[in-house]
Amino acid sequence: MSEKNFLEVKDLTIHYETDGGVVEAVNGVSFSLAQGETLGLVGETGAGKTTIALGIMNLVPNPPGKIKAGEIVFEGEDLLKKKPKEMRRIRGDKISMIFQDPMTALNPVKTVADQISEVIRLHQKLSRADALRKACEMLELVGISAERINDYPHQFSGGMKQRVVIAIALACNPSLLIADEPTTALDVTIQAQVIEMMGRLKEELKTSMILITHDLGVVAEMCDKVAIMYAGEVVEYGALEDIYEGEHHHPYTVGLFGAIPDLDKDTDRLTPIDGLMPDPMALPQGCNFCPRCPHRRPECETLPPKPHEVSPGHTIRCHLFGKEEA
Amino acid sequence: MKTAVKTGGAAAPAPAAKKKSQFQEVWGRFKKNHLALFGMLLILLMILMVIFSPIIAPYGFDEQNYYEIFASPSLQHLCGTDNLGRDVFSRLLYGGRVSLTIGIISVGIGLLCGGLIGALAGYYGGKLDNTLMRFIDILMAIPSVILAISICAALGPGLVNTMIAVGVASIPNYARILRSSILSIKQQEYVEAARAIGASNSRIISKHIVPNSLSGLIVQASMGVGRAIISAASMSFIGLGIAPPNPEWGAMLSAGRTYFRDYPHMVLFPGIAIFLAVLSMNLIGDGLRDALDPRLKR
Repeated sequence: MSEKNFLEVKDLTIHYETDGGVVEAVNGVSFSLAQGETLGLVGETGAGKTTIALGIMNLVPNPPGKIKAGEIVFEGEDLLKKKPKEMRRIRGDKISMIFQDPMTALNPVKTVADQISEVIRLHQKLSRADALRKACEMLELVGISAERINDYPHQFSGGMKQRVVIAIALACNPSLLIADEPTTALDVTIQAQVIEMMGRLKEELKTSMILITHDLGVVAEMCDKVAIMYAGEVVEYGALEDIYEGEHHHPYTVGLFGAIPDLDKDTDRLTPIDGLMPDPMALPQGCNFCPRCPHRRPECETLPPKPHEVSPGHTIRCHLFGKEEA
Repeated sequence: MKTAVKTGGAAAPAPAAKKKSQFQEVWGRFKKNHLALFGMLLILLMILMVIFSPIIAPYGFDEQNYYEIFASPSLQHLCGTDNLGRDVFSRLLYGGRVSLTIGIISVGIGLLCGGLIGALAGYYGGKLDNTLMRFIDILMAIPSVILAISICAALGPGLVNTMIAVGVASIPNYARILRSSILSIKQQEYVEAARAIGASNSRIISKHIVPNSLSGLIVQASMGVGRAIISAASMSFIGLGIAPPNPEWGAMLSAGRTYFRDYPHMVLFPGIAIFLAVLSMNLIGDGLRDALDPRLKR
């Protein structure tokens, strides 16, 4: 197993087959992650970010969800070919996930002690007392006093609940952590604390991470690689510098960055990207972004663009770039 | 907040020592509820009286005294006598053995089977849900008394068969209640989170979903005890339940109905007994529901 292949997602395609039609949530997404790296998965609501996360955990709700194609190679093995029992052993132990809303991600009728030690006891052969001791350590690690271990989730504030969720996720020292918008439900001051803490723990525990977020600021702080997603596709993928400082960008990325308010400029209104995301049940024939794209060309409407590598490791899925080279 | 990280493992063992068991915690909360405690004392008292009925009862349950038929309550006969001159108080004590057993065991049967069916149907959904719930629909389509009668008729009269019959007839209630609450709870993120830490389905159902859906079930079960006693009574009324002369509260109630106008005590005392049993179960049920919900912890 080479460093490079720690996690490799190839051509992942996930559809939700409902009675009303097929929702093409994720279409041919590929990315890779090396040990200790952090990948930022950025995109609007409904771009398929969470579906990818669930796909990696093999937890896409089925029915209606279905992984149609692709491979998810984790530590040299394809997770999609694993049996449910083997997969259960990986979840929580090697790959774990932080959920978006800490308010609902904890079981209201069980103490925090029970919930943290549950994951420990599921994956490690420890006695109840040892698991509890480990749970206390985890709680201290995320900055909550171990005295509160026997409290119930409703006795914690939102930020502390998210810390508990993080403690659960990190309890077994996973090699991959998937954080699904870990800060969205928190207010701004707590967001900063949680982000700072996650960054620190990631360094300490040498965990790789997939960070799903809307927040480009968080990405800039935490990530090594960034994948910009639009309508189930990665439209731009590259190292952090490529995305934030590179010359060439997908028009959607340009639009995203354009929508960030600039403190130095005195404007009354923000600059949004016109239009809406396409209906995932009826994606456009050509480029998905074409109806909203300011640089639209005739071929965009009929021909889906292929990913094009503008510089090593930096790919853009747009006709603007394929042409220039050719 | 960040300064809270000070002592690594040093502070850890302390909370471990003070952790109370789940039972102690629930009991601690339960005993603060005086009504529930009262209900518990009441039912315990009834159970004790029933257990020691041969010692307590002044007469045998089938001891007839034709000189004293329809006697009003007095010191000789605390609750009076019935149309055959049998002491109502003694019959109540002996009858309580049957009635309380039927009430509690048949609710237990309904709760277990119904709960299991409801949990499986609600959690797995799809074909299993459809199959199980259509089976439940069949049970529901038959009026529960008729269903119990037919089960009893098929199995023959007797205490155990009556309990089975009454229990099976109550399965649909519990199955429906648990299924519906599981349907809403399985969408919760903590269920997905449990899946994400590698918990198996049976673990998720028993440790995460069912504890969260208990409250409705507890209330239904505590009400169910009374209903079970009454339906057991209708069983014996048509000769399928407990055979006379063995006493049973419901049967005493329906036997006394004929004389209700002139000798109300024949109906009154079995009625009070059933009422007290149901009341205490309801009080316990309410208290238990509150005690099991940690959000109400003080």
